[in-house]
Amino acid sequence: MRFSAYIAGILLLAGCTAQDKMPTLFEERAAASGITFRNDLTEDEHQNIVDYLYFYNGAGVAVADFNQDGFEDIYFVRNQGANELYWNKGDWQFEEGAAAAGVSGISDFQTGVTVTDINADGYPDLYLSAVEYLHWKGRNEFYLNNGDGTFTETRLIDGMDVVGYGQQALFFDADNDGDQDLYVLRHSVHPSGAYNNASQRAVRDAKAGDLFYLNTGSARQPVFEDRSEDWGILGSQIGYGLSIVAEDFNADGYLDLFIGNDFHENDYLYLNDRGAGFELVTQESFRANSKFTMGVDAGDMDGDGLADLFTLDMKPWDEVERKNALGAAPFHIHKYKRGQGYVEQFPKNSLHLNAGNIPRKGKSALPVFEDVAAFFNVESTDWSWGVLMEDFDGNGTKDIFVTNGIKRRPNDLDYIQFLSDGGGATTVDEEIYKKMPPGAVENRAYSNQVRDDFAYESALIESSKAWGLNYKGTSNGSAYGDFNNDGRWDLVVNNLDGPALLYANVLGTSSTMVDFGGYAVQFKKRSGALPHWNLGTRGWLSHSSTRRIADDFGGSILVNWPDGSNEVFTLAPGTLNRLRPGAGTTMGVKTDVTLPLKYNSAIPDTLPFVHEEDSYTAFIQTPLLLEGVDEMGPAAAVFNGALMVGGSTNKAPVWITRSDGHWDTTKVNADKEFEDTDAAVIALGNGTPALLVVSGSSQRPNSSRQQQDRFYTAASFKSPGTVIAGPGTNAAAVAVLDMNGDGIDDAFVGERCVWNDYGAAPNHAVYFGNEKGGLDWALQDWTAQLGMITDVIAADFDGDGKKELVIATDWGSVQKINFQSGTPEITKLTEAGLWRHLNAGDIDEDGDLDLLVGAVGENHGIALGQEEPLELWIKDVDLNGDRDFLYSYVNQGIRYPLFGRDALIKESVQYRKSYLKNRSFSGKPFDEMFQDELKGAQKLSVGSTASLLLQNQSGNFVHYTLPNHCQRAPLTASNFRNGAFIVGGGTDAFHTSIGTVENMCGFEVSWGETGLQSKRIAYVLRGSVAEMVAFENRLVVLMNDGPGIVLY
Amino acid sequence: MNRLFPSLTVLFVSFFLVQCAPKEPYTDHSSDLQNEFEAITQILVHDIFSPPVAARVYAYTATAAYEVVAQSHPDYRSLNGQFHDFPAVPAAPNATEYMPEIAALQAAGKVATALVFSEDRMQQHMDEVMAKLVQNHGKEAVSISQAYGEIVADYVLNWAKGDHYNQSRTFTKYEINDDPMRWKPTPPDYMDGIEPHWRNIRTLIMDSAQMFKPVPPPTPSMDTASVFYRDLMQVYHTVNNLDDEQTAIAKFWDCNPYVSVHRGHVMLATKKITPGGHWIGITGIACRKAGLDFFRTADAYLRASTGLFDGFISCWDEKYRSELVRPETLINENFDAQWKPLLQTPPFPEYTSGHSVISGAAGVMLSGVFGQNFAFQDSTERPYGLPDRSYPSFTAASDEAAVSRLYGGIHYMPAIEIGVSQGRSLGAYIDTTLVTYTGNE
Repeated sequence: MRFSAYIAGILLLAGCTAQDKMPTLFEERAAASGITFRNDLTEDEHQNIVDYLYFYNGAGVAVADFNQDGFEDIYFVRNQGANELYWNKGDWQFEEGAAAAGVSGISDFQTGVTVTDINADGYPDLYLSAVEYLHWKGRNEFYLNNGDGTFTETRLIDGMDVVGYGQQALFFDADNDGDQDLYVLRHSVHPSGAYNNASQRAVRDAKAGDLFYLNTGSARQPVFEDRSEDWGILGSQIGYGLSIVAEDFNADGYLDLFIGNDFHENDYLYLNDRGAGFELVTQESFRANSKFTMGVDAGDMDGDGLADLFTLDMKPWDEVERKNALGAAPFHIHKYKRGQGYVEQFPKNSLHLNAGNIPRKGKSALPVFEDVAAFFNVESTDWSWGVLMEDFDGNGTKDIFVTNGIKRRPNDLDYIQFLSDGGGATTVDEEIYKKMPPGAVENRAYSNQVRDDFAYESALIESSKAWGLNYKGTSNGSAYGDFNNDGRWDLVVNNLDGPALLYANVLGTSSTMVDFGGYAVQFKKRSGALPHWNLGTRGWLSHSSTRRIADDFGGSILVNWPDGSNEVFTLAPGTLNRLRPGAGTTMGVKTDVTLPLKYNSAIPDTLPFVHEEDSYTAFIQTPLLLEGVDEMGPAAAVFNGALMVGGSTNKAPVWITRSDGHWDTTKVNADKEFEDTDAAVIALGNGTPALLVVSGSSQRPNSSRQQQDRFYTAASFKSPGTVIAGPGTNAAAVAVLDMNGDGIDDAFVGERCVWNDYGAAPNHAVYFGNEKGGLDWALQDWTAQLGMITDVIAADFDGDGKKELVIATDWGSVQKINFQSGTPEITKLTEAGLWRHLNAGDIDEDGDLDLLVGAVGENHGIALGQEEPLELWIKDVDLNGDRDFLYSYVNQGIRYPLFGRDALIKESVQYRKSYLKNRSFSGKPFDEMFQDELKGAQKLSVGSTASLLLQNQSGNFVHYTLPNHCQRAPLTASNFRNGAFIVGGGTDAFHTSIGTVENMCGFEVSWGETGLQSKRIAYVLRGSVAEMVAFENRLVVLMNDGPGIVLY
Repeated sequence: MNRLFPSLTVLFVSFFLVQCAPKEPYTDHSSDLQNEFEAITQILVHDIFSPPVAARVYAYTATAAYEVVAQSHPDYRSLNGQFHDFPAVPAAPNATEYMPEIAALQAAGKVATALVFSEDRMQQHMDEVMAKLVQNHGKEAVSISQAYGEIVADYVLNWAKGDHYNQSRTFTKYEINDDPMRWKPTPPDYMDGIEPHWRNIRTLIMDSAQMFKPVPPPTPSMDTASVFYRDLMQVYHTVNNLDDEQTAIAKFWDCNPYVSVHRGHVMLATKKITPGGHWIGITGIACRKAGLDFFRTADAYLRASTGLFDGFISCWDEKYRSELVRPETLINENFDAQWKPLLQTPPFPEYTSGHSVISGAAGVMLSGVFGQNFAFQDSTERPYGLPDRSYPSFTAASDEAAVSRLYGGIHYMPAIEIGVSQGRSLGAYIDTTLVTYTGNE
């Protein structure tokens, strides 16, 4: 035994060694290159995370060729102590010389570093940010490069120091006048709990507020004026500004700004009003953002020419850390806090793909974004500081590198609830912070395998190990540069309490790299193309190389130098190209770009109707729903020449007509008690056509009148509806077909869920039409086990001239019910899923109807697969009369509870004894936690959440997964039009651990040469899309808790 | 600290004596019971029990100890027929070795262990106590007495199951809406409204949660001429102009089991005893001062905790009827966005003040046991670094506890005044209805 164990040990060691020698994309060479920098933190009673919340944020690093010797140098910032400048001597040898160069820094606590060429002399200058707080003295510092290897500290802003909570600065040309303007980003030090209302946003703060300085001088002789107010820059205490990046998000030729704010303050997206000011458009451009936003970077991830955005937060990927960390607030609390003046924010990373612009009259075009972080599994990189988006492997697409780790984790639930016990207001700081659990985390890297606008096979592949970048520690500032001029990006990382890392890129493909000397320039492919800027301020407190990859520039580049001259250069491919003023071919004077139309969407018409959801949320009754079940509707259908749109509870339904180019509305106030969820036209047995409107709400039992359904006839269609007798349903959808073969229309009403008992078998209603024109409710056994219905349609799929019923369910399958034989025959069309929507259309034009099946999509962040399904066990574990929910999912091969310990003890208080602390819960496999509980429990299981198209092949349905585009949100509505499905969807009712997913813009799905294909529609269709209805030769789209809009 | 050291010394010395001189068994089992309640209080603090739920633990624990006493001594009347649904428990064993003190300690300990979350901490305390009792009274006496204590505890726990506590865990959460005068979660943590369905918990003595329903609060209004607005401004100005004595009073009676402290990036819980825990502490102090024997001590805990238990039900019934907004919310939203009360606003509606109601009730109950003018020095808050305060009577202490909520900036005056009167009314009712000790004073 002992011997064999010894052998096994050797084998294991051998295995490790072999793996260690696997060649990686990067090799770490700091020590070998002479770089000995460390950012060691001195922590004591007078300076620590209790006194200063950003004590563990680390410091920045800058890459620039300061002495213009052709090799990019590295400048490291130390929080406390002297900064270091490493001159690049070539051949991976560096020599420290900060003191001799005069750039050791003078402030007591330093943070960010940025680089610019303030006087257009081709020599990069340095700007440092510093914190004046506690006993720390300091100010932001500017070092003018003398061009001889030394710098002179200079007051940049005439006679004035910038003193406060400096974080980072950004030099950029805000008004395209060729000189560098300045944005000073500062954080805040106030406890976050002090602010509950966003009204503080407008109050400027002398030390925390951000500042914008317009350069009113020239490229050679800068003059800075504080223009924060008239340029529309906010500067309050609630702006916990942590990061900034400038990009031209709306592709109008002017640099816009994105600022990541920590805590509850919104991130700021400032659109540049063509050089005349900034406009804050966060609310309009995004549907949800990261909450505790840290590092940000911008760049074109999907190759569509538009700048995308990646923002970091602190959601852990590791099971134990994820469960130990404070997560999102419960739904109703989240909603309330948001109502204090904030946008939707959730504690996770966001990868905002730029989906193009909405043009606006008299304003800059508005860029809109689709957050696909969850879809690409990059939403949880743990306590992340810096992100860089560049093409590290040289395959032509931008990859992602994320720095990670915090010295101690203050958001640890056990720490907050137990370890700090007795601490609070009186204990000395040291006792408080020393109990905080450590938080070293591996850095992450993602290789971009995205193809063709993300439409088909695409992935961001976690490659930190394969690339040699998985250092585990506390890494903060990071920057890229090409230190040996081989056309491949190398990396440098500033670590807290650890040695700096220098990664040499040894396996990447060399790119066509351009070096602009020390100058800040605009460049473009050709005259008339969109400009780019060689800005280096990005990531975390840092500044990367101002060189650029120009592989897709087609061999030449047009450069606009700071003196206003334009020159064309021919590029040598696959190598470094050094461009200098005067060495190219002179072009004419720079002209303003005109907007390329392809990025702009059409503007829809709006209906005189806005659906307002009531304030009730099902989460207060059932906290562990994946999606709230109360945000249904509005119902919409065309009847008698008018469009009927249902209201939510206490909002009247309306009839909308169109005459003389105007929309007219008539409210039916008498029917406002109903929450209308669906409607369908029915021919009553006496020959009278009618509109059947069904109502449902999980707010009240079926015995209440509001759960009754009703119909309107043409004779009295704007009068109160006729209520149909029956037991009432929490209706989600209705379909009309002849079910009993008597030639008279009947109606099937699918129930969403049982009141206060989600998961139980709902009570679907069947109304049989009688000859007198009435509708008779009937109990039908075959409906008993259909499941929780989200949508129903009736259509003739088998071509026998009679309609079949198809139902979509939550946690169940899509089922087809054929009434031809007299007894209903139920066929399962899919596996269990979280289905949301059905529609029929002959997409492949083979003469029969195909079936579009919408589901919640794949942008929710819950790991699942057919082999590793998401499971939900429902049982009254504690015998208190209320069924409890136990979810499980598989994380890295092991099945765990989906939600945390706090969620479990709210389901069943008995578990508070078993898991008094999170540490006894976190990381414990589900099967070890629950055994008896699962006996006799209802088990629900879902292996896929993708939306599908079922192609009808002579009655057999062949499954096709809809293109990736359409998986970005729940697919909740569609319209079959010109042989294609227009699809839309979204929800703001997901559990807050998933967050709002309603940023998917509309797509058109059609059947092409190679099968299904998708493309953007001409409009930006975002929100909780509920219904699409063709009316008056237009396509009307209705949102839940949103406007009605008219497309086409 | 200097006050704490001598008592610790005494404790160590007494341990020493017990160990070395078993021939003279100590008989101060009153202290054992006080220590047991003290241990429970510490665990309730650690486990973060909310005020109503903590009162439930105290009441059922005291019930178990007291019912053993009632079954063991003719001067004490059983709770069967007095507390709603309370069962008839088997009589105490007729054995010479049987010691009701040990049985009562065991019964209370078992009930507490079942009701707290940190079972091991309670068990550890009980093991230490029982080991000491074995040394003093021998294994036989302890095991016979323990066995009976277990029986009574099982009856109490079985009875407790019928109080709707378990069912109410999953009742609907408090719904937030747009009504500006309706309670909303408060800074810094915006916690959910606590125990919105506590009125469904079975009362002990009151015939319903609504029995002492107070008059509605003044009509909420931001009209500057309204009574409500005047009360709101009183909170604002009082907090902005606190003197040292008012500040000391507010902090002394804070009794918030979970204050979320945000210091820099660091979020901490400062944990303290609940309002009920404070009065349980006072009960122990009074028992010690009056030198009550074990049986009377058990009786005192029972009477005090009964007042607390029904008091919380009565108060919470009103809180989630009126659902009145806290001063902090209105002040922040209307005229001072950065204003913070001295004490952290607790997470439930404003009217009536819980501390006022239960202090009113407990004051009446304790006056019934110890007399109207029983002066005492309150040292309950020492573990939280607060100096002792002295009171001429329980009534005076409860008056101060009530008004502390105004100084703390978390209640308007009507919630305090009407709350105290609500508590005293229900206290008086319980005091006359609940018959326990029937012997001579």
